[in-house]
Amino acid sequence: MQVVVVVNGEEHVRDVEPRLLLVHFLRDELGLTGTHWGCDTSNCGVCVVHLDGVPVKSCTVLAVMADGHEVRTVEGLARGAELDPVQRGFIACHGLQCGFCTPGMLMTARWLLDHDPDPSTEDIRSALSGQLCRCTGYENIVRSIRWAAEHGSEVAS
Amino acid sequence: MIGALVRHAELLSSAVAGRLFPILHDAERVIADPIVRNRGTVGGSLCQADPSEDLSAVFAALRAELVVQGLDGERVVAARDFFVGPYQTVLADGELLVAIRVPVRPSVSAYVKVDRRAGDWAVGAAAAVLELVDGVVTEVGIGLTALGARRFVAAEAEDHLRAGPPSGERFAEAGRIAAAHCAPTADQRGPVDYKRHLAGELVARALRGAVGRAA
Repeated sequence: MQVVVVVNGEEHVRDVEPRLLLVHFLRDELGLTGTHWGCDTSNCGVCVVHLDGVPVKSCTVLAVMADGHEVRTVEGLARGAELDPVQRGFIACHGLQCGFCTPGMLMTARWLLDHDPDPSTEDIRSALSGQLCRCTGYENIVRSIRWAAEHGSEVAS
Repeated sequence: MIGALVRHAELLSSAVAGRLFPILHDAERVIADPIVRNRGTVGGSLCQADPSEDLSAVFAALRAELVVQGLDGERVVAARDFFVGPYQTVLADGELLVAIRVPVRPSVSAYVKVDRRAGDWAVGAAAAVLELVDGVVTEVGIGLTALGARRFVAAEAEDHLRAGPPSGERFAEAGRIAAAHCAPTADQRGPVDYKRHLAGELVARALRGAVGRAA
């Protein structure tokens, strides 16, 4: 089946099998390997991307379901050389160790801050409740997102 | 009327659904996680017919009707008659669930769930819907999730409560009846005696929670 998907502002046309998952479409068809492939069962949340502005686990979206829609991946967070505040927050507060969960965490964090620029720790934990990190114990991830909330309007140095 | 493709996040954000049936928001808040709720659908959950799925007991308690579209037309199945076993429904080849109809009557309702961690399947959960007229329970629906209740319903506990006052004592007895009649299985979420204890306690809590909303 032919699909037309706008990913990070760029239109892509591909012929895909109907069973192809969006996560594999992004990684294998488009080479956007920033979106990770983890549990394949919507538990771990490493594959979170935005579909029409809403965070979804891309292992439970078929590529054909994204036909005619807009996808934003972790590669679409930075503006040129300027990292998104959530990316800077994860650097400033050591929000990652191995980095496997980070793309999904960043995408959910971006969505959260777009809708609530000043989330409480509780709000952050609730928003991330569908995502697993096996390294940090979440403390630094929550701090990183709070950092982004507090420094989001500053220009990166 | 809830379309089968309504997403969990949409139902959770519906003010009308929350006002008429607070039980729907109780349940939606504890179904999976916010990101999964952005994709998962109400009809999908029902048709999966997972014995630990939350909405099956909720719609059974609400006495909802499920609208099924087939090749030759439409038929309506009571939620209580929709499930024939774990992962099995009455849907035949060529049939699709297209909508869920919930009768709008003055009622109070609640859903309470015990799970091991955020977003997990229930260890056990109970759904309660009560219609009250002049201090008497005129109709009641009690659903059980993951506790081995036939058709997700605690029918004997419902029978106990109908036509009496909504008292804490009667709720506790309804819980004991529900616990005695359900058939939970032991698994990594707990042994049978614990789950039976949960059935009794959660039914009483759901009933009290529902009535607590009456004021």
